[in-house]
Formats: sequence, C-alpha cells, structure tokens
Amino acid sequence: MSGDARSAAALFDPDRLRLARQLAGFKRSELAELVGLSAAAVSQFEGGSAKPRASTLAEIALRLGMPVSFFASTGRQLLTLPTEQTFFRSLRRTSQVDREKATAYAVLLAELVRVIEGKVRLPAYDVPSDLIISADQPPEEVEAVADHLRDLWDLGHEPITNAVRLLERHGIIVARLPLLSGDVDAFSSSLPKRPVVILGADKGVRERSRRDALHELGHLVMHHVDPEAASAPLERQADRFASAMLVPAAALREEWPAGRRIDWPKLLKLKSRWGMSLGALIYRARELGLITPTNYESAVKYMSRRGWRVREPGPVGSPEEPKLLGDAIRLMGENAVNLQQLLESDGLPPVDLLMTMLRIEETPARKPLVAV
Amino acid sequence: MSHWRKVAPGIWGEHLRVGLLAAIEQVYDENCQRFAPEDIGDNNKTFGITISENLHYVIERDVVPLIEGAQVEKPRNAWVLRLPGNLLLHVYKAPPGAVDVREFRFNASKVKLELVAENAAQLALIFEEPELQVPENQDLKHVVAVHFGDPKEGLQRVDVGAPYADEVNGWEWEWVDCLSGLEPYDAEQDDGDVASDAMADEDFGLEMRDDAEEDGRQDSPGES
Repeated sequence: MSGDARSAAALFDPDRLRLARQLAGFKRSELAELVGLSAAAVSQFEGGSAKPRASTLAEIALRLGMPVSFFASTGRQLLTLPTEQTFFRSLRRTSQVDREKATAYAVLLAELVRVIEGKVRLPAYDVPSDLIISADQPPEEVEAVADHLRDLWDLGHEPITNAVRLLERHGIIVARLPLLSGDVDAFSSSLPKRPVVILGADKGVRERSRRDALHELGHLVMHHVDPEAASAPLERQADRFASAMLVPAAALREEWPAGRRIDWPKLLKLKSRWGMSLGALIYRARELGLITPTNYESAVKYMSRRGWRVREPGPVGSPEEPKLLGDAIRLMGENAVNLQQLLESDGLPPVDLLMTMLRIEETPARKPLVAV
Repeated sequence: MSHWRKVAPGIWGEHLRVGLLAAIEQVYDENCQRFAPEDIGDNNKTFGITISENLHYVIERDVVPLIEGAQVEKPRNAWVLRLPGNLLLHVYKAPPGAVDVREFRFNASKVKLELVAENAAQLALIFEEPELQVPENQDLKHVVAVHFGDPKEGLQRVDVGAPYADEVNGWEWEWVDCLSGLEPYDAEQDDGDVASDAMADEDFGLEMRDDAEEDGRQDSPGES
C-alpha cells in the first residue's frame, strides 16, 4: 500500500470521489460493483458519513483512472455546479449519468481555468447582464437582443467568421469534448463569474457547431439569471438567438434571392458567406417570412429527396476549435510558470491527464516574423 | 492539387463533384434494386441504357440547379453537361467488367470521337506551337466521367479525366482522378465566395499577471 493512498484516505474528500465517478460516467452502483462494495458504501463515502480504507481508495482510483492523490482534500472546496443550473437541450433524451458527466467536466474545466487565471489575464467577460428576457417574450424580442449584442460587439451586419473565437474573445471559456452523448450537442453553465460552453466533438459539422456555440451564448445572455435545463420556450429562444446572430434579419432580407422558386445556387453562396447550413437558412427565411410555410415544406422535401438533410452539398469545413486556454498555457510555459506544480498544489489531476481529458492542446509557439 | 480541382475550381466544382457522385449513386442503387433478368429479360445492355437515361434526368434535376450557368445539351443522341468556363462534362458507363478507365472506348460514337479530337487539337495548340498566342483557358474542353459498376455489385467507382485522340493508340488520357478519392475541399483556398476565417488565429493579447496582482487577487475572474 502506497503512502499516497494512506494519506489520501486520511484526507479523503467526498466531493472529489463524486466528481471522479461522474467524470468516468459511472453510477454509484456500477462503481460499487467494480470495486466489490455495496452501492450503499459508495453513497456513504460520497455523503461523507464513511471513509474508504486506503486499499479501497487505491482500487477506486484505479477504476476511475485518477491518481489516488486526487481524492485528498486540499482544504479548499471544489467548485460545484448543480446539473439543474446547466442548459441541456432535452432532459428526456439526456440520461442522468450523461448530465452528471457533462457537468463534472465543466467543473474540472472551471478548476483549470481558476488555476490559469491566477497567473494569466484572460479576456474580460463582457457579456452584458441586462439583456435578460423571460420565457414568454416573443421572438421579436430575441431578435432585438441579438441585434443589440451585435452592435455592442461591433459585428455590424457582417458574417461571424468564427463563432468559437467570438465567445472566447468576450471571456467565455469554450471546450470541445467527445464526452457528450448523441443527444447532447452542447451545453453551457454559468459557473462562477466566467461561464463555460462545452461543444460536442462527435458531429463534426462546422455549420452545426457554430450554431451550437451561439445557441449557448443565447442562454448566457438571456437566461443566466434563472437557468432552467431543457425548458422548451428557453430552447426556442436560444435557437432564434443563434439564427439572428448567424445572419441578422435585415441582412438576410437584403440578400435573399428574389422569386418564388428556391434558388439553390444562390443559397449555396449564402451558406458559404454566413456559415449556415442550407437547412438553417431556409428555416431562417421561413421565420422571417421570406418564404411561405408551403415553400419551406417543399424546400425541405427537395432536400430530403436528395439526401441533403443528411449530407448537404457545399464546402464542409472542420468545426471551429477553441484556442484561448491553449494560448494561456503556452504563455505560462514561455514565462517558466510550472502549471504542473500549480495543479498539484490544488489537488487537481496531472497536467497531461487534465489536458487529455479536456482535449486542450497547448498552442504551438509563434513563428518569428523575421528569421534571425 | 488534383486535376479536377483545377478544371472545376472553387465552390461550384465541389458542388458538381458532390452532386454528380450523389446522382450516380442514386441511379445505381435504384437500377440494381429493380434489375430483373428472369422476370423481364434485363441484361448488361438494358442496365447500361437505363443508367444512362436516368442519370441524364437526375443530373438535370439535381446537379444543374446547383451551378450557375450549367445546362444539359443534347448533341445528336447523346447528352453532355455544359459548365462554367465552357467546360463540357460527358458521363459514361464503363463496359461490363472494366476496372480501368483506359478500357473505355471512344470509337463507339461520333460524339466520343469528336470530343477526343477536340481535346487533341487543344493539346497541340498548347504544346506544339508555343510561339502562338496561348488561349486564356488552357484546360482541355472536354472532361469525361466514367462510372464503373454492374447490377450485382452496384457502383464501384467514378473516375474523371481528360481523354484526347492519339495516333498510335486511338486515344489516351491526359489525366485521370478518382472523383470520390480527392483531397478534401478547402473552402479557405476558395476564390472568394466563401467567408474566410479571419478570426481563426486571433491573438487574444494575453498577459501574465504581475506578482503584486497575484497576491492581491481575490477570485475575480473577468477582470482584464
């Protein structure tokens, strides 16, 4: 038995066991079975009414893929994030385990950000806090919020060339993780003062991922005061917000091809220009009254018959990748700041494990402009 | 860069490639399903003819609307797709059992003989008389897509290339690309109709905190 396990057992922190189990995607009963305990015992460990023996903790650590030292308290409470304060699109299609796993990753990400932020000045979080709207507000209000935000952020009526970068520029932490199940495209959490947006890594469609990022931004702008997971009206508002951010109503009215027939070559150009899927464009045209509901249905059928609902024609770029944390970690390295030590002193997983789990890559060093 | 990307550059070339492959796949799928040699005497010939006729219809319906200025033309009994830059795309089925585009024969019809002859004339202009004023569009005028497949195995492959008349062998191919195996389309290298991702390499202007700031800092994310 290692001294690490004995120390960790002596300083055992129940919250860390819960976080590690959730990160691994296990129910209590599943973990219990893996390590030969009763589910009640795991519940007692997590509830703080019992402590695991050193040998049990070593086995748990092994099964959960965490260093045993992770389970020792550092005297500081881990950040917490109730799953009900996280915007999931659908509770019906998202299992409790998936939700817990997703929020556990958000907590881990926030812990890393906290450590980095102790050393590096990240962009100020400047999402306005006074653009809140309630669930019963009409779509026009949502359009107005998006237009206002576009003005505040000097976006004018031009395309957003990189939605992830836009969020990062305004102080939102974005991560792209493969952990999300097929039914969770993305989610966001208003973690202490600096929210995180987590995008799924599985779909791999650029247009969809841009929309997901702006949908989550919509929640952070409009619904941060009273978050409610999987509320249909709030989800619809966030969808509308994403559409309005992607292409403002006035711009699309100006650029939408004239005529009753859908002009697909022109729509393909709009798709490239605004970074929206054809499906999202015709949906947007319908919600703005640029095409009739009948024309919309015909267009959807046209797309279905040609298999475009599964794979659209046109350029398929890679999803936008986050960069802010990679930049910050590179800067720390350039300034001889030992991130590993900082993480250790906060009882967080080793830097390699953490970056792998959170799929963060250190940004490569900049090339000098002039060769010396 | 593949030859295809050069003769059909930018976003319209990608629309054409994706649309053409989808049309050929669809036509093969449906004809393979309804192929009935014992019921109605289907054979390789009927399969080839219906594939060709159906492709004409599906390409005109699905691919032409994707490309500004594209249209189907019907020289004699054949059909050909006229594309931007005066490019003409012919779509043919490879003979049964063929595995290589070189097995396709161009002496089976006048249209085919004309297309290789015109390409040969263009090549002669470029390579044999360089002192002459080289035309602005140096690409060969005719491009041929050849699809390989049969009723049993379905569609196997689609190659595209530029054939030309050759005195020794009858015809040769200036170049051949596998249409489904090209390098991924790079929208950022496009000719300007795709919004470029100017923000991708954004420098956030990050700075280290100084020691005093670290000491006095009270968990206040959001400051800059």
